[in-house]
Amino acid sequence: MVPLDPGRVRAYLESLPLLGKGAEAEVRVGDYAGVRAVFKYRLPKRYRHPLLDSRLRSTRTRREARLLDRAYSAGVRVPMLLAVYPSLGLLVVEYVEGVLLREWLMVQRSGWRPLVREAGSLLARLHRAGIVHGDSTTSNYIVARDGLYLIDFGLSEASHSIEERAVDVHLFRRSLESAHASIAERAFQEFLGGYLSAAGEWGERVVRRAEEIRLMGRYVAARRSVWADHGGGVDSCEARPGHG
Amino acid sequence: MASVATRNSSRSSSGEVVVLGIESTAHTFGVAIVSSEPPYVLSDVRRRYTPRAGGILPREVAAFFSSVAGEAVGEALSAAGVSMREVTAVAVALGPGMGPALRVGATVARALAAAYHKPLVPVNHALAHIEVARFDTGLRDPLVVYVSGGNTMIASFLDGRYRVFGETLDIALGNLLDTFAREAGLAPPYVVGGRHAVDICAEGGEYIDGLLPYRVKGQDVSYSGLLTAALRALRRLGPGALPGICYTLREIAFSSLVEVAERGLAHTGKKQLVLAGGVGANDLLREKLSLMASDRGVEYRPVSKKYAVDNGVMIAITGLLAFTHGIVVEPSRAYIRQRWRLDEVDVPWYPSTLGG
Ligand SMILES: Nc1ncnc2c1ncn2[C@@H]1O[C@H](COP(=O)(O)OP(=O)(O)O)[C@@H](O)[C@H]1O
Ligand SMILES: [Mg+2]
Repeated sequence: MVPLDPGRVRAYLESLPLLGKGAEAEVRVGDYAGVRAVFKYRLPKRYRHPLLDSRLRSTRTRREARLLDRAYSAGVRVPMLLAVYPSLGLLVVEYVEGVLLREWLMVQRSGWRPLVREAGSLLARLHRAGIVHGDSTTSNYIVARDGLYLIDFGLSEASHSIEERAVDVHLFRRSLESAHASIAERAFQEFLGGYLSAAGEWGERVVRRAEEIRLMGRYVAARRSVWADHGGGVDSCEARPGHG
Repeated sequence: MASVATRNSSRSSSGEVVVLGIESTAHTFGVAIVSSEPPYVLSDVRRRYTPRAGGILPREVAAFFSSVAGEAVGEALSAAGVSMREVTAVAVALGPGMGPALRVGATVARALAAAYHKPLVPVNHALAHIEVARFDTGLRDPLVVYVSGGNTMIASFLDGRYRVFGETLDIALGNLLDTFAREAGLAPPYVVGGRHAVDICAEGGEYIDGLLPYRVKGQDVSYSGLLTAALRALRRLGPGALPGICYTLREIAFSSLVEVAERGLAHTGKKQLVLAGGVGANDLLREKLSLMASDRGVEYRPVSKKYAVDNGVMIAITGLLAFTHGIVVEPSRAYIRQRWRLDEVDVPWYPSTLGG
């Protein structure tokens, strides 16, 4: 069992094999009450103010537990929640055997269509359950033997907002474009097909809004403002020695 | 610096390429001469438009640029000890940026290219910020955090182009700081010696937890809610609270950016990190990124402050690399592109840069 003493939990976790290091958490595999489990520990970040850091780690952990649980109850394919220790930033969930969709898309040359389509319908089902994911990239879908699972609910919210749903769709698209450029456009169309098939009549509005968000982000360049470095209006720098 | 005569002889014998680069996308009219041979940067002339009260007026900028363009070109050539005849190609930033400002640079570049029969090289301004940072830091294959008045993006190279891994969903980081400063009544200029008015006003303050919202969405940040909340807090708490609000605003804005940068590193697996763009001159941001990178075991270097802000050198360097890879444009077809996306530009020279 996980010791409840915060001073000892770190040592306990470090005794477990490291499965991966995500953006904000260290993920380890262990045993929890006889179940093969994933221990997700949100590391403290030195670059953030300590008050901000501890608040973010505990609220995200708490939120992840709550929304994971809610999604699971609604029948969305997510790992089962086993335990949560918000003040430690520790979450324990069922282990899902498989590979990340991101990795899968990088090595597989064919057969991606039904998978990406399934990713779309999985996201729509989550949205239907009143949850937005907040980080719906290909790094957060696991391709398991029995289908796709959604993981990583640290940025999720209980919401029915079209805007927030559209951000999810946009994030998925961008993760295709940035990591799987050669199939990105086709894969996104497939994803949309899956999304619209499982979404309600609101699906079309989400897709339209996602397109608008995409244009907005990229085009802020047109709204440049002043970022002048010196007070003076004129300066000229001489040639300087070269460097390798 | 080597004498003009020495460089002349080496130029003819070794196939040295010399590029004149022009930057005019926003507030700076920059002209620089860059060579394919050390010391690479031969001159770097900048004329900066300083607005009277906050906002930047495109037409005023254009008028200012037109009035300084001729002398800036002349000064860049003479400081480099190079004549137009010795220039191999002319490079110009055609976007993204403000139309009237861009038009001045494009017109000057077209005229120079036509008058001296030089090839014209189109350069994307965002790409140039990244390329000068790679050149300057020596990091060849980094994840790039590019932050300026109008841009906030996390980019890295994949399959021939820079791809955007994260960005702002609404306003840019520089825009957030400038707009807050203006609305809070802080006096322009907002940046002096790399320090923003918000940095200076934060000095007497401390972090107030829970005052302002922290918004990270996937790999993206969102700043417009932060701006609104900060201004509302200021109205509610009064001017006495300004230092605390500035401190908190900066803490949240920078921390969320560092977080999405870390997410970009996790997503791409890159082992190097570079900070580029005008807001990259900010000391606190440089320091926060450095903490994150060292905890992650990633090699990190911010671009030197001199090349963080807009300048002609970045255009000339990128233009030189592009030119040697056959990228040129007919002067009559060198249209400006106010909304030219970074991921629309091919980068065939990657990962090499000037000097290797
Ligand atoms: N339930 C799970 N089953 C199997 N592997 C998991 C599970 N949860 C997370 N992982 C692995 O750990 C990595 C990081 O987990 P994640 O929840 O996405 O954290 P982060 O917020 O740091 O991205 C995932 O990319 C995946 O490889
Ligand atoms: Mg993840």
